[in-house]
Amino acid sequence: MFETSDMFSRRSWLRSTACGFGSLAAAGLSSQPKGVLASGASIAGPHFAPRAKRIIFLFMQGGVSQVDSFDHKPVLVQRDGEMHGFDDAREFARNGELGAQQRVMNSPWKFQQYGESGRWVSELFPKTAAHVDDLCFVHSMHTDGVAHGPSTLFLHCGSTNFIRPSFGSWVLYGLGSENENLPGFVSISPSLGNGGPRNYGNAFLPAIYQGTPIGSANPSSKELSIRNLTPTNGSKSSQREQLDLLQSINQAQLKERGKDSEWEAVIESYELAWRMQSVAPSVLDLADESAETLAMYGIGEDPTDNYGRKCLLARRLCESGVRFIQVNYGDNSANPAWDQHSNLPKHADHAKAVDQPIAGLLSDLKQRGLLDDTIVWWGGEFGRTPYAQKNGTGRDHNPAGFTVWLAGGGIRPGFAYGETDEFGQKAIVDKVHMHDLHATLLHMLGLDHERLTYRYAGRNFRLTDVHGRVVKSILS
Amino acid sequence: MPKLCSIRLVLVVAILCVSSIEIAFGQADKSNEVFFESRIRPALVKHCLECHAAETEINGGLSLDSAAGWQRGGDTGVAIVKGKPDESLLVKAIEYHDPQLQMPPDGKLPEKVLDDFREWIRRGAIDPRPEVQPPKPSTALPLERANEHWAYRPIVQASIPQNDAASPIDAFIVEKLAQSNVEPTSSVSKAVLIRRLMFDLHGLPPTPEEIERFESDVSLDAYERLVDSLLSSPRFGERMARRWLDVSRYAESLTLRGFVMGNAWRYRDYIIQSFAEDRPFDEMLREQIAGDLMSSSDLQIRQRQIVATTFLLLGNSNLEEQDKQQLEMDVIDEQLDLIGRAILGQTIACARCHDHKFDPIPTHDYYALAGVLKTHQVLDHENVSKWIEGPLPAVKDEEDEFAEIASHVSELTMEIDKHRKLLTANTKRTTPVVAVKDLLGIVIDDVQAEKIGTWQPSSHTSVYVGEGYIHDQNQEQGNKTVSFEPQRLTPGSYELRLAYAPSDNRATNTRVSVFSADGEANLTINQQTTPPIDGLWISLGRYRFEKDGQAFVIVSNEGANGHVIADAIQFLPETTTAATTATEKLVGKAYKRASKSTTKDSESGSTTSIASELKIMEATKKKQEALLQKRPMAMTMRLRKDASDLAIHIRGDVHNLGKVVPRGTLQLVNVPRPAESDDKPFDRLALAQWMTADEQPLVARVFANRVWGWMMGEGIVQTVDNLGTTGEAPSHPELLDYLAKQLLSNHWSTRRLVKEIVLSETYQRSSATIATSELADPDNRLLWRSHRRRLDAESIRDAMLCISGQLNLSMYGRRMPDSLKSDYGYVHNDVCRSIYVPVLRNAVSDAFEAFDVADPSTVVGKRNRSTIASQALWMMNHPWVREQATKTAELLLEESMNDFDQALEHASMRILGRKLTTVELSAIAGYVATDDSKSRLDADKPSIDAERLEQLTMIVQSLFQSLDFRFPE
Repeated sequence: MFETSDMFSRRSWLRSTACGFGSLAAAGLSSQPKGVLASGASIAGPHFAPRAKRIIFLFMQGGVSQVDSFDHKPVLVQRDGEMHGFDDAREFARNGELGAQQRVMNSPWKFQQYGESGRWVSELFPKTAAHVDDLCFVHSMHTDGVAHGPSTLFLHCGSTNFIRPSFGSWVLYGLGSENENLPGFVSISPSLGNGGPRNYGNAFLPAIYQGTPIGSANPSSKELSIRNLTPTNGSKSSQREQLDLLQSINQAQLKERGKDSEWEAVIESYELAWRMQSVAPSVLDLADESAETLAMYGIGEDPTDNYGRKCLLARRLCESGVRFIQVNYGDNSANPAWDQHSNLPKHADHAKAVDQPIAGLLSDLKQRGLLDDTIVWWGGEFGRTPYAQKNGTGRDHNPAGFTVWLAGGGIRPGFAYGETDEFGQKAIVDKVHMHDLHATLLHMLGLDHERLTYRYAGRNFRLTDVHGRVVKSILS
Repeated sequence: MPKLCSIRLVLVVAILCVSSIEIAFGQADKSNEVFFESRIRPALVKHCLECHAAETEINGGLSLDSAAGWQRGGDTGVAIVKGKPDESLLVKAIEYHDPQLQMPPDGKLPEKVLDDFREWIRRGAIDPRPEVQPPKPSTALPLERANEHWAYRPIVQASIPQNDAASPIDAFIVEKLAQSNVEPTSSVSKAVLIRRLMFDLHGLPPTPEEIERFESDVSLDAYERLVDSLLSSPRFGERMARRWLDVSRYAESLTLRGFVMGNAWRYRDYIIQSFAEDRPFDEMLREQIAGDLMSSSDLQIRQRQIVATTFLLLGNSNLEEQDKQQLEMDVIDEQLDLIGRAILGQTIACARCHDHKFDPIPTHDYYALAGVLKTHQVLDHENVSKWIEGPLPAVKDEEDEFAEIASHVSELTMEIDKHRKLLTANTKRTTPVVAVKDLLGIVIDDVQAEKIGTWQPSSHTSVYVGEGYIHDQNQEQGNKTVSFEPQRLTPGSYELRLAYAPSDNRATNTRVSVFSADGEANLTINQQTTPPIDGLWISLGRYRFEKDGQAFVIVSNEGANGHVIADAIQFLPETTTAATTATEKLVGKAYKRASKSTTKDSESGSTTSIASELKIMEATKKKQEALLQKRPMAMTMRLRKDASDLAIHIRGDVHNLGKVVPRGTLQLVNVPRPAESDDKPFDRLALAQWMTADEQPLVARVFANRVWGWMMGEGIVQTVDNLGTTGEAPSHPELLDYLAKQLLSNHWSTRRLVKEIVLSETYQRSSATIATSELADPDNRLLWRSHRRRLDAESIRDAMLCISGQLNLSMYGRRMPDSLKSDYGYVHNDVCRSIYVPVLRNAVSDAFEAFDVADPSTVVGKRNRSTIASQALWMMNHPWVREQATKTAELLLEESMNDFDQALEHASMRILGRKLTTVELSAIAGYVATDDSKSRLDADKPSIDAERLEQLTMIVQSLFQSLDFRFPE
């Protein structure tokens, strides 16, 4: 079932410029006024002047511990090992229990202040720390769901359970892509777990808003490619000859049957596919990057090579006009990467793998002037508890309070917003819900989260449901 | 000093007197107003009115911009009780104690402001602000006026317009065309017609022979006979089933962790068979809603009923949700959305949090229906909840056999237990200390474990693994844990075992938590009793572990009532025949020792004989259990003991309950309900009967509209899943009612309805355009021509497989390997019809995804129709397409004995259902003349045959890509 509002289809009809992966030029209108789209964007551009054109989301799958990274809590040192009552989100969801006694666990990593802004960062992220004056920390994040599945879906789609379009799909729906030969929304090495394809899915939005996966989270496969982009039959020149044959046949058939905009769109789609397979591989290929650039991202060295390549690719896609680029650090398991329920020191392995690449990306974006209109969003689906889970050696999930940071694209640099309690467990001051973060990020792109709606199954849907507020304080 | 104090006291008293005098003189209002103006109004403006005012938005139905607003209150009730801060919801919200009710959302207000609010309310909550504007009237059609919407009125027997149309359907269509003065197109040729019909009824192209046969049959009823033969083929059942599976969001796995629902395919087969046999659709609906509550002495019917109800159980739920009440209501919401849109054409789910904004569906009705569904449990709750499967009813003999096996297994279990105890008793003196290297699987001894708190090493009780064990000194309960985590663990399923040295001073309630891919499992172990396995181990159960996933065990002394012992944890992989082999190894040792020592007493038998008996019994048990596992199962649900009416969940919040509503159904249509009583409340069976009652106007209309849409390309109501007030109006309401009545009078026969539609002239019209008609009715709502068809994903795939000679037409059955546990990375390489390709939510094939296959997580009555580059990329570059083209070319060359021109002609007949036009032929000739296929062939001097095959392959692939294949007339 697929309904579109009047406004939606009328605007699609009126729009004549093409943009967006798989979108089609003027001919892209279908014989069916409803259901097939002319262009990448389906609303008439942004609602108001945007501060940023695109977003790079560095997804730290599994949930980074805020009290071990960016949310400095000296009280953990003082009260390490003491029992204290906490409102544990998991216990509350399961049996409504609040205030259970838990053992406070100090961070194994030391914190120090960096930059002119004097932000505290732990030893886990020394390289990222050098950029604190460009970053805006939101320490008062909170979200829905306690387990990875629900919270990861909530992070991406604004719902823990229902089938909803993902953030990138909404962005593409609102703005279209800037490069018609590339997908407008990509997810680099997405995980199959915890929502898998739904995390970059278009749900009920039209198919052109689907995110395109590049590579997979399978650690044994380092290949970063888009599927079906390489001809399997013979050389490129012979494929062009074959395509010429196809197009003569198509033109003959079109002439025979009369005009139809959908058929014309199909003919155009083969040309677009041809251009894409010429353009995309060169964007995906890192071969023309200088040795200095590669070194900046930690490429060619363990353990930074893998994530470094993905971050560099993100910059290249960003230069090519891709709207939403998600760079996943995770894996396919139900307890991904940062999920240190036990053995908290493992956090250091993950931090080492991403710190240099992230710092490299920030430097690179800045030196190329891209940070002005690109937002970098770093974070996970939730944070972790400041106490030991089951009194063991790790930390459990914590949706009640955690930190994300944002940089560039009109976000206030060198700033920190919101606070958690003295232990770093619950957001208490200037709380920012995940819905609020979504609303704010859309705002930066010139989209009003309350007006970015899509009519489906008899009502208007939006990313933030009936919630969300723009956190104006973090705007520069 | 005392004097000074007393003066101060006097002053205070004096001031108090002054203020009380003021009150007495009626000036209190003024001071309270001052309080409001200075303290409360600014606080409201600053913290509340952004979301709770008529001017901005009235979140949660609450406006705080006037006394009238907060007196009316919001969804959760009156916000302020004058004089009683402790009873005021507003105070509760700003106090931030209740996790469900905390305002403002961005953080708790300062204590000072809280005090002000309490004080203001205590003083009577004086609020002089005038009411800003009265609440907006509801936009919804009220229940008492539901009849104003066409779909809620009874179906009427419309009189067939009198004109010279060929059939009643055509009469309705022609009537409107004439009224609007729009000219229809003419009928298509027979060759086109058979191709259209075959794709619509079977999803497959006709063979050149079938086209020829139909073209040469000049008898008057040639078409009707063709229709009849196609309708009676099982291919028709498959085609119709695929459409209904879109509506019923059929899938065989869950997004969450890719869990495979191994018995979902039975539902798919049930639908195929039901359509193939043309079973009455109302009966199919009753079975899908309440088959489990029906009964029948006929085994096949009984099986069918059980399987049909799988319909309700295929939702893509997030079983990991930790709040299980929330999860249950989410599942019910999904079911209501399904029932609503698939069957009733109503968006019921919109009424979960508030009355439906447009349709006459109050939350009352939502929770009346939710109560009907809630009577049965569809999940067993754990950290990750699990759907329920039960044995499929079997023939009596088989049932008996399984019952016998089951009882044998339980007997064996008891015997094995007894033997183990005996063996333990006998070997107790000799078993005791086992080296890690003598054990199977991965063993983590206490020395390698991570300890929190002080743990005392000991070897006092000499039954242990490795170098003794550790204990918590029976001190600091709740402060000590031991974490056992293997260094490297190959992903897979393992049995976990804990070793502890038993003794009388141990805790009987030691807490052990296992963290695996299935989440967290919490167990309580009695460490006073002798461990049941070899006197050494107790099993903690079987768990799955993933690559890089969590894999550890925590032993804790929380709440322990004695010494807590941690000795070792064993991970035994599933592949080793764990139970027997481990025992074997150990028993072997015990035997060696025993034979050296004195002979055992005779009463309990010798250690050796017990051990060998045990071995035999364990092997037998395993075999019997394997037999039991072969028993066919089906997805099902279980009656709740505490089934009762549900309360309205205010704003959909499971923790915020309002008025309890009796179980029931929607009130928007006037349909009598089956008799109810206290001991037989309205249940799912009653709901199913209500849905398919003769007076029910929605269900027949919805289904007739679907069938029309499946055949014609668009429904009479285009929003096929929504016949509510927000749906589109029917283009031909009388025709829709005519079709619905036909359906009812033909006992809900889908086949007869389809037949009547495809026999109409309207169905047979060309899709070509007529300029004047196009101008008058560009959207073709009047059906002056056929809607332009487009092959769906399945038809593209099946047609290509059919043409390449690869298609396997075998029907039914499970199509995934039995061992498949997760759909991650599933590779589709079947050559069956598309309907049998497993529908895996994390592994939808490239082709299906590109070509707008239905999202298997939601009701899809009408698929998306998009034109995107990934379709072209798949056609151009996917190896599978190339393979089909090659196979087709091979077949054609073989048939034509390597006559290229003849092969080409056949290619066109098969792929396009017609001969090539001269323009196409010359384009191909041009391609053949210039193409340098030799250069692509491996051999230095390729044979003429190889060269021809290569060229024909390229041409065939182009034909598959061409418009006339993808968009049949």
